[in-house]
Amino acid sequence: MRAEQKETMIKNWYKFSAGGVSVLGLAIVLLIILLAVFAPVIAPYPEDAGAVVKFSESSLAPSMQHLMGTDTMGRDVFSRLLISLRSSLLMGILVLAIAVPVGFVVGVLAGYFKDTWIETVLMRIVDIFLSVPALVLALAIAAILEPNLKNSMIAITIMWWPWYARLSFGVASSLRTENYIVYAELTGAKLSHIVFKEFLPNTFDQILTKMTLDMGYVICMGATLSFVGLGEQPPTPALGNMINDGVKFLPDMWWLAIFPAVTIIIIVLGFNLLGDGVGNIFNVEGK
Amino acid sequence: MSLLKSILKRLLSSVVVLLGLTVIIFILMRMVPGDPARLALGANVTEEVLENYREVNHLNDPLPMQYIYWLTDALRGDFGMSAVTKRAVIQDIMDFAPATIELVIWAGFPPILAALFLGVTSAQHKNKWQDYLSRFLGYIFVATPTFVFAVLFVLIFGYWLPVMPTIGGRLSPSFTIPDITGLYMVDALLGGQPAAAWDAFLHLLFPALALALGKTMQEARITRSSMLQNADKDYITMVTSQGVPQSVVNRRFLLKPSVIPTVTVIGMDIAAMFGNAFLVERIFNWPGLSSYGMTAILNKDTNAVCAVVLIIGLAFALTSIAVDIVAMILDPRMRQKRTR
Amino acid sequence: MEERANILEVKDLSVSYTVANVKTHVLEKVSFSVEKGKSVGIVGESGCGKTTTMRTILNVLPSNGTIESGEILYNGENVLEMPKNKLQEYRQRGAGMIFQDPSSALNPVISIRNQFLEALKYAHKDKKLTKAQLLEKAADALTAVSLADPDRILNSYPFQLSGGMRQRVCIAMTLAAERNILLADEPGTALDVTIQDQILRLIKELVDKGELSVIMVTHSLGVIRQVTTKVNIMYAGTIVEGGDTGEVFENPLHPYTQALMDCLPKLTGNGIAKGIPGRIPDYSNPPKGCRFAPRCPYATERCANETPQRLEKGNGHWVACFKAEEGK
Repeated sequence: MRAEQKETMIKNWYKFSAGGVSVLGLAIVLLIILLAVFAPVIAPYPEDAGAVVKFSESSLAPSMQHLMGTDTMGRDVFSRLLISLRSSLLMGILVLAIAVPVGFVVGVLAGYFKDTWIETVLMRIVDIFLSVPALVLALAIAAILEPNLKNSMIAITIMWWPWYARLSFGVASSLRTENYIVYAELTGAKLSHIVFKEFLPNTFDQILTKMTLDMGYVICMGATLSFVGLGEQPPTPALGNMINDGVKFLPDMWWLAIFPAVTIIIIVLGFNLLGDGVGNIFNVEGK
Repeated sequence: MSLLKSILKRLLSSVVVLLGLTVIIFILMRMVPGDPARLALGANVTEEVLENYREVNHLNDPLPMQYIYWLTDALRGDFGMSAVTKRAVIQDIMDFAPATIELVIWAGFPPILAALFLGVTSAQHKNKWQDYLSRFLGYIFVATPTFVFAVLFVLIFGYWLPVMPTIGGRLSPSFTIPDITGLYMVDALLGGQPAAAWDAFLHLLFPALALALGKTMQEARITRSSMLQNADKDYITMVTSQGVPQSVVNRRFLLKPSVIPTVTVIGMDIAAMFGNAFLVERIFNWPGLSSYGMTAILNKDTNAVCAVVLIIGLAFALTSIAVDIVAMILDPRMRQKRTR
Repeated sequence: MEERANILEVKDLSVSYTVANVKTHVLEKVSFSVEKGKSVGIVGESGCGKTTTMRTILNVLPSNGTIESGEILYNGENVLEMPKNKLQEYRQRGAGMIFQDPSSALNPVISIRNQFLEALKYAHKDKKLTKAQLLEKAADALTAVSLADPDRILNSYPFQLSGGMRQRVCIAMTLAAERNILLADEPGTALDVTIQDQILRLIKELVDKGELSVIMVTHSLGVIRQVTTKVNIMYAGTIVEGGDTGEVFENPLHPYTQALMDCLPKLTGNGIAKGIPGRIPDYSNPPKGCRFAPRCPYATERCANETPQRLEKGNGHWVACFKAEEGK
């Protein structure tokens, strides 16, 4: 058994790395996670994450002391960037931790009860949420609630679950008539058994692939909300609000906006590449 | 005819979905903390005036009735007054919409050709430099959020290499053009002012690029992978084995089935542009519906927010219907499938 | 140029596929030939490389396939080294294939009419036929494969036809091109027996008239017996026995051929066919000697280490097996 597992792992690694760049994606993602976890230790000026003012060091260009320069209050951009990774990753994890199970259950139920009123109601609701660009409603929701990190997560979650509902619906409605499902029904399996023991394993590969890709996109949308002031509030650093602060000082103090901007690109890139590799393992086409 | 029937079905389901959207918008509107009358009129009015406002706007009726009143007004184009501009919201929308439509047309349609070209080139030169270059750029551009593109473009083309005539606006102040379609480039050309049209183009170029680049590369990627997938399909091997020249095989047999997945994605992409335009318009000071909506959102101008969200939902629905029709024309199979 | 007896010769053909970085040696030194105006059969289990052989003859391997060695001579010219335009001409006029899977061999988004027109346009390039004449040929071919309403078929898309209809459309499309050689990959597997029989008869008729040479690939010994004059038995990418169909059926020499014959349900005798124990070997790591050795009841140590060479047994009947050496 052990040898077989080992062989499967080796085979999966082959498939994963077949695209070539997925390994790079894995490396980026691991690096980001490590940096986020150890940010308070690594950051050269961890106290700069708050409302600190150091006039003597304000508005410095990148140098050995301040790798990415300092902002107008004299705070170290590199330290703030490291700290901001934490809320970004947290956002990605929490949003998906809620959106994915909700979307899965809704989608699978709709798929299992295809051609009944349950499907009609559930999938219409899904369609309604997908009838406006996610960003627009997320902005509106975030604006109506108090602007802070938690509420921006809620807004994004509300806009994210329908995608998983649609994905699971597609799988469930095509598996519904498969013999093993029919057999489970005939032997009197409970609905919960069918949903979690029969449908979940069959949807898992697609969901996992999409989740990996979506980590990047959720972080990206979170940064977008915080860019317009509807996410994490200053002085706490977030990728979006750092860029927003920096934009005011373009072009002279370019480092304020550019480093956070590049960081977002690298994060999304990392998860995209990783997602492609995960998709290769399962032979799932990324979205 | 089956095509017509599918389209009708599609329209009907869009109407249902849009009605659902109005419910969500209404709920959101009523979720705003505080007294709607107070929010609309400000702090300095007497209770009497407030009560009068509530009576006129049916705010004392039960919620479902309020929804019906609101919906009938909205269907007539009456979205109430904007708390920010102090004008009728519908008037604001009429003024701001053309700028957004112009932007989305330019960001949405010409890049499709670029996407198809890149995808096809990439597939035909698989694992050669063309392919590597376009895939490399693809990965980077797909990963770049729209607002980051906008910020980078302002920095690069606004300050470092000042290609942009002015940062912001749709036209340099030195030009005046006739108001015919509301689309400045078209109007300038119709008015016989090529210089103004060029100026309008330069204003449009970077916001449109910021909106389009990520999506374009995504579409190119999808085209490439479906080209490569289909190239090994039996039906391609079949025509190749019949001695049909490779160029004809690619053009007549491979391209059509391969662009269908791209076409279905394009609809979602164009629709998403209405969302991303919220940021692009703001950063480029583009006086469009989205930047109006963004201002409304930040100022909790509920009437304006609802109207903008609803209009964007409508635009979204129309775009995806249009795309579905194109897909149905391209793919005979879709004409028979139940569309959702 | 002298008149050749063999219109097509496959010589020492070896082909491999690369799947997930692993090379699989699917064909190993396959050789056989097709006489002009005759039909040759290739028999074997599914997965033994029959389809790969067909595809290689037209030089249309999938992108992960590599031709390791060998040549395919069409009228003495190597197909695998033909310049582009020569190769195209060979595919237009020389050899054409009936694909095994009818559901995937037709383009899903192009009407049957246009698929016919495009294929026939090139196949009949020299004759300068009008569109109407090409369509007439298409309609005739559709009628010949017993599709009753050719006009309706031509106006349809593949998804509007049943599997059996699609297969017949594929067959008609290949037949209407009137090429010199027909490669038939499991023709008629999706058809009911009467229609399959009719199509086989049609093919046989064309062969008997001397218009067509055929390579018939199938796992059905009945089809082989009905249509072909020569047969090659294929096992795991190698041809293990070949000769006149009647002779091979009467007097099978290779243990694999004998096992195949035993699998035939017999009207006389009692009991069910024996079946062949074991499975086709792993192509990424094929047996060193005879590829059938692991399943062969007579295998010796020599079989496991040495590849048996062809052994002529007279009348063109040959076999690649060490056991046959002792026999004579």
